[in-house]
Amino acid sequence: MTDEERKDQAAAAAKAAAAAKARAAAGEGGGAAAGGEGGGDGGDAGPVMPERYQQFLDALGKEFEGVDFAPAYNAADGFLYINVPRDRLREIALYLRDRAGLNYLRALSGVDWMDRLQVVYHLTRVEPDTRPELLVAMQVDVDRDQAVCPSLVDVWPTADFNEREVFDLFGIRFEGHPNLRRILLPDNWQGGYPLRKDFVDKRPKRQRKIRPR
Amino acid sequence: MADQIERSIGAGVQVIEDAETMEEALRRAHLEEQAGERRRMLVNFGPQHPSTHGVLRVLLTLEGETVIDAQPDIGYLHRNWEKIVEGWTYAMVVPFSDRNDYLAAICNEQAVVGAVERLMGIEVPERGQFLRVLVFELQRLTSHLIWFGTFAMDMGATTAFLHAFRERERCYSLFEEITGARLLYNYLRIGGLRNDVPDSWLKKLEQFLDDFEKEAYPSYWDLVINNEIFRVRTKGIGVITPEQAIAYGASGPVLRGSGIRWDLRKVDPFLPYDQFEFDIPVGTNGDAYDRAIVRMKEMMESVKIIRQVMKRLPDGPVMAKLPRALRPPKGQVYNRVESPRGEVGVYLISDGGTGPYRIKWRSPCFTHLMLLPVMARGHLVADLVTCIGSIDIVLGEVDR
Repeated sequence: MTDEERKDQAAAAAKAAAAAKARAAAGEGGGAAAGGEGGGDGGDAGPVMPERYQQFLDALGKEFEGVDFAPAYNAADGFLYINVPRDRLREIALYLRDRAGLNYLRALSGVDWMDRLQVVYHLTRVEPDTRPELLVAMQVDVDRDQAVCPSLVDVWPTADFNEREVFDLFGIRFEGHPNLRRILLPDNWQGGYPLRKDFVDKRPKRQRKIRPR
Repeated sequence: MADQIERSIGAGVQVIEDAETMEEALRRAHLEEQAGERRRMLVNFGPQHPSTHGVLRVLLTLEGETVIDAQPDIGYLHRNWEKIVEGWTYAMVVPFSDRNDYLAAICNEQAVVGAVERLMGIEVPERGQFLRVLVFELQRLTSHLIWFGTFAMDMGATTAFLHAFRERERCYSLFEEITGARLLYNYLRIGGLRNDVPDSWLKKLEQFLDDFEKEAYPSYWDLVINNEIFRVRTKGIGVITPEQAIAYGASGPVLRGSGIRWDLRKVDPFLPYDQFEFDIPVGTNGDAYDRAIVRMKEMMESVKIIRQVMKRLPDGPVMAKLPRALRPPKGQVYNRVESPRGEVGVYLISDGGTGPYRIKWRSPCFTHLMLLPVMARGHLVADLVTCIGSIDIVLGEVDR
């Protein structure tokens, strides 16, 4: 990384922090700074977490003692990213739905971090005419070789197709899913999971046809 | 019984022992019917069926003509958008995102462009933001026009399609003037818009809105929505309760048709929508008719917003000043917009490079397809067509 690039990045970060503060003051709940992945890097400006998230985290910590959630508030999109251990995913999910009132699964994504896979659940509460108070994203780490994760279809039925998609493209098996089949790839697929970073396409490269003029 | 058959046919003819005579079959069917177990059929619906709006295959379990189960089979248009864009730069991702929901390209662009802007903290100039709202709502209008035409066609009303396309063509000509393309625009840039719009264009737009409001829009109601046949075909069909809508992650007109006033333009604002006045129409019963009414009323709300934007359009640049190389800092962002079909979300993870490390596309139609068995159960096959049409499906977005 050259000096110039570093300068660019620093300037962007500073600008992002300023914008985030301005928006937080306006009560919009969405800013523009980057929360680092898993609370790791990128949080040098230290985005301000709204009060209600702290209350939510306190209650969560009291309910599940000894679990390291590593909370990271992301001012760029207003989501609170928490790490959830895989073996306690189901009870935490049920707590989030029934006690914290997060009744709506917005998106379910898989991520390949090279050393591990991850499933991310973006959650919120849908209530007529109300701005959502809590935007929470659960991150669940999954082993690369033994890619198994508990299914949450009975908690949020939205997970049905989304888990099938992640199974199809990442090869994560969701235990307890009633109908875990391919959904997007064809039945005669060559094998392998295309969204993993180490996927190699076995199909022969097609020759580019250039029309003579 | 078998003895009787053998006798009547005569010697030398092989008789299949277990063969069921017509009488036996009818009696068994009658008994089964009385016991409540009728014969079920597995029927393929699609993928090449005009009312599936593309290549959607539905596996129907039928009892007579009653739908017992309808399982969608998708993936015919799958090209793995998320993998293809992984090595690209952000500027390359934007035009390819147009192809996902090809009837609402501007909304897709805003989803991608907004994600990068949120991550980098780019402030779009005010004129750029207002013009984005303008094209966003014009896009919603065109998308709902196509829905109106095709939905009426699903019901068997072919004339409405031509009426809707007459207005749609005018919209597309307007888009063509400012973007150079009729369907897939690549108009939004990271940090603003590709180019400003001239005043003469705004006059043409105003002329179109006047005509639309005075002539075309009332005629849609008279032609189709207030038509008795349309009402009978849609009322009480494909009911989604509010609880089901939330549990299955419905969004957009499908969620609002079930009576939940939830619109990202109001509850999770992304463009300066909080500066404009508009209503969020909702339904009451959650059936196909309510969803249709919600979309029809939304057309007028879009016109209202466009008029407000034109009245208050500020001067100034439409594009922000950007660094030469777009390198968002390390991090992740979930950007969401209210497209005509529902919540389009882009979950973008950046590793500090010039392109995305991973992009996840949250597609509303993909989510709504989970509701198809819920909606179609117990209805006739003809009503299944209504159910598919009422979620305004675009297969390019379902399969990505």
